[in-house]
Amino acid sequence: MEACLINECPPFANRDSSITEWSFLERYPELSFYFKKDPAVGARIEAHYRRVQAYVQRYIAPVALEIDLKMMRDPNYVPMDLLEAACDYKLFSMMFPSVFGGSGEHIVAAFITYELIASHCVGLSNLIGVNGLAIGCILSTFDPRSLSIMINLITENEKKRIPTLLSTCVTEPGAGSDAEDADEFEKAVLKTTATRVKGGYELNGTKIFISNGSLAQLHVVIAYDAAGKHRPEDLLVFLVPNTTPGVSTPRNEKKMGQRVCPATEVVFENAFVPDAYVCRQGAGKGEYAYTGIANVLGLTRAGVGAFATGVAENAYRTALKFVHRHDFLGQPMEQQQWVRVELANLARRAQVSRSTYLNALLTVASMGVVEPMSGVPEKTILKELSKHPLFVKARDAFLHMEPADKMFKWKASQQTTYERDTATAYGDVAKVGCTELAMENCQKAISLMGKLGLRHEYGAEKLLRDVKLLQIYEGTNQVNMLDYIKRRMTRQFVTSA
Amino acid sequence: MDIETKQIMGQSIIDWCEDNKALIESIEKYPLTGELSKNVFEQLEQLGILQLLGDSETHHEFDLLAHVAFHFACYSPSIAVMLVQQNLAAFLINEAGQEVPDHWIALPIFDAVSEWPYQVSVAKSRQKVVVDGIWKSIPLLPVAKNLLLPLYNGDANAFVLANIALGNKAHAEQPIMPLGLRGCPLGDWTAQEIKVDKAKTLLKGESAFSMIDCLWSQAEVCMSAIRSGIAQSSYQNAMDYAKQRYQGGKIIIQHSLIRKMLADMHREQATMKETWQLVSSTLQPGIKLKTGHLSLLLAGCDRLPWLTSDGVQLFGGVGYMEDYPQERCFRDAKQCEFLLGHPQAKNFFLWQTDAG
Repeated sequence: MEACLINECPPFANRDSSITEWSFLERYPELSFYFKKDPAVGARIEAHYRRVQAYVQRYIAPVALEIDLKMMRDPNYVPMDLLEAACDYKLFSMMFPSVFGGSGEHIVAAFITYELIASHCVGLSNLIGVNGLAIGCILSTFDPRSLSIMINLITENEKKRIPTLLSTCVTEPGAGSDAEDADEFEKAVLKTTATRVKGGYELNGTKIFISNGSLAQLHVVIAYDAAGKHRPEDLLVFLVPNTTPGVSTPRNEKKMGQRVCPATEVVFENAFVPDAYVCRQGAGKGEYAYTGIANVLGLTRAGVGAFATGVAENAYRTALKFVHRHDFLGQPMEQQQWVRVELANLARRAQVSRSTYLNALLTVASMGVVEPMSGVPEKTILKELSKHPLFVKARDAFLHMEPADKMFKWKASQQTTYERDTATAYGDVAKVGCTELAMENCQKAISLMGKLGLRHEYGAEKLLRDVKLLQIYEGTNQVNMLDYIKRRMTRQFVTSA
Repeated sequence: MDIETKQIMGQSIIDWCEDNKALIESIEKYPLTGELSKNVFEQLEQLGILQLLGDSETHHEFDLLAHVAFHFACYSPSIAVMLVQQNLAAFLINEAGQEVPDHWIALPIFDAVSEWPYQVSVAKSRQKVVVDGIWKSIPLLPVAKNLLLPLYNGDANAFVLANIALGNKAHAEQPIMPLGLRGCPLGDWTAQEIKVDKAKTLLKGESAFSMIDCLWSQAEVCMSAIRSGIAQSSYQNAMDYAKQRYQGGKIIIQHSLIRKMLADMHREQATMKETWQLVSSTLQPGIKLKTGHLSLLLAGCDRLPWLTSDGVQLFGGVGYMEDYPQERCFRDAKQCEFLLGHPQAKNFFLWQTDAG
């Protein structure tokens, strides 16, 4: 047997050496093309990358596996120290413009954050990243009042080192992937209803598999107007604080992986939501809540691509570390050509995945749901002003007024259907492409590592458990592909006269 | 073994599994305790399936063992693996002319024969074999009282199959957290210059090595039967779910995409089942599997993780939850990829056997 294995390659380094982290440009060389044109933006993103890398190295890398085991023993455990530290690095408010009290980071910086955290623990990345979905949903309604309520809660808490987690409550026992697809949406059995009462609405119903449901201070809830006819245009979007009487989270699901981010059942029993917490919708004709949610999918699905890229990268690095220190049939693994090609394939898939999600992200940034917000200027003076209580008071008063609402909705109406379709289609491709590559990497990494790869302490088995969820949430990969081909085909057939 | 006997045996396993669903559930709740493992052992012993292989005169009963393992794997792959391992160990003890003990026996079935020389260091000192190192991931070690360890340094003449009595040390070790087959506990055996003398030697020499090499080869049929059981279970779960889950205004089995996924899963699990049954019917005592047959079995092994991944996918979010059976199929499938050794080691071995 040994005769067939030849040590063809010299070792990478001695066996005690550790693997270093990549610098920004080593990880994202393609971005340098854009940043040469705008060095200031490039420098900001690079500085953010370094900060997040420091956070990940200090707080996440040493404990990711340990937290997974803790969660297995106690599904209600919350790694509060990590979340509090995330406040120090402004990871909860990074996407908000400075004028709103956020750190005004570029959307690329936010996604890089998700990838970096996911490259050590995708569950933790989801725990923080789920906020992006809730914020995106509110963003897509282009309602400045709701947005300011949400942003203020997050930024004020962050200053006090209180992590604010949000949840998005869409899925129900009778509405899963169909609730994520425009064509199937009307057939989804959404039973949660909102009944008009004096001064607001009363919510009744049960939502399931809600990421961060038991930890969220604020739920974004999608429900039908009970007075309507159960059509998409009868949907309403609510902001519901977890302290609202009638809101409960009776149980967290026992998940195969990503355990640190709880999937919760959220129950609403006559939960009263005041008018101020109901999203004002209708950005132009024919707009309703669902259209907004459908539009946000381009953004969030690209986000799942970033998670998946982190996992694919982690699978490669886990295998690399293993191969560097172990033998196969008596010969050092790293010196065998076939092993090197397996490693190369792991690295290649991670690289393809990164390019795929960055491609989608840049498309979303230029024509997706975040594009209307990207016009908010990032000026030092606005940043300073936002620290002043009087300015904050005036800003919030303005955002609650009708003219602000009209301004936001006018901005949204400038976006064409083509632009939104394209952004979502690219999000679909990123979600499916990246999660498939990540799944393949996790499977192959374990196959390379052999029986030891099946053990928790080597890291790869957790990756395989974690990665499967990426192919399911944000609409199963199958639903994403149906959505993608629909968006492509509608533009590829010309109806004859 | 005639078909009727196999059918009767298969039905009795199904009945047992149906009657003991609570026990099966508790086994899968990691870690398996000593008391529970004893309970399972006694129940399997009562079924009379812990020594199906007999000795080298009768070990063509592999066919029956594979059938029994398949039926167990449909309910609990962990029990199926424990069962096959115990049968292999009992066979080896019978071969040595000793009495098979009535407790679990540990045996390193996650290692191919070609991998044995690289697990621990084996040196000969006077009339004794001295063992040093850590042999990792040995099934049943935490609950077993004996460990059968193949000590091989590449020289078949110097081969020794040691029978090592385990103290309580193995029980006290930190439990290993595996991806799948969590009902079948793993342990690491640490040797610090342990001397294996005549009393600890069960079998030795080239003939013993050849016999175990053949045993390992034929056991691939049982492992494939276990994988096939997982595949069937994953497919059946998906079918049952597709018939009751409502989505997009209709039961999901009425969606053509779901039908295609089910059809693909069905084809693959049927191929796997047919393959091990076909190969199993050709087994003859003392003769290793043909390389072509082994290749067929390993092809199924490659596909299983993807089939079970599709099984989870068809369930959607529910499939990811521990309350439903699909996630366990997904985890167990990957764990089973390494039964009887690293697939790449087997691949090289297969090629070298044919290429010379």
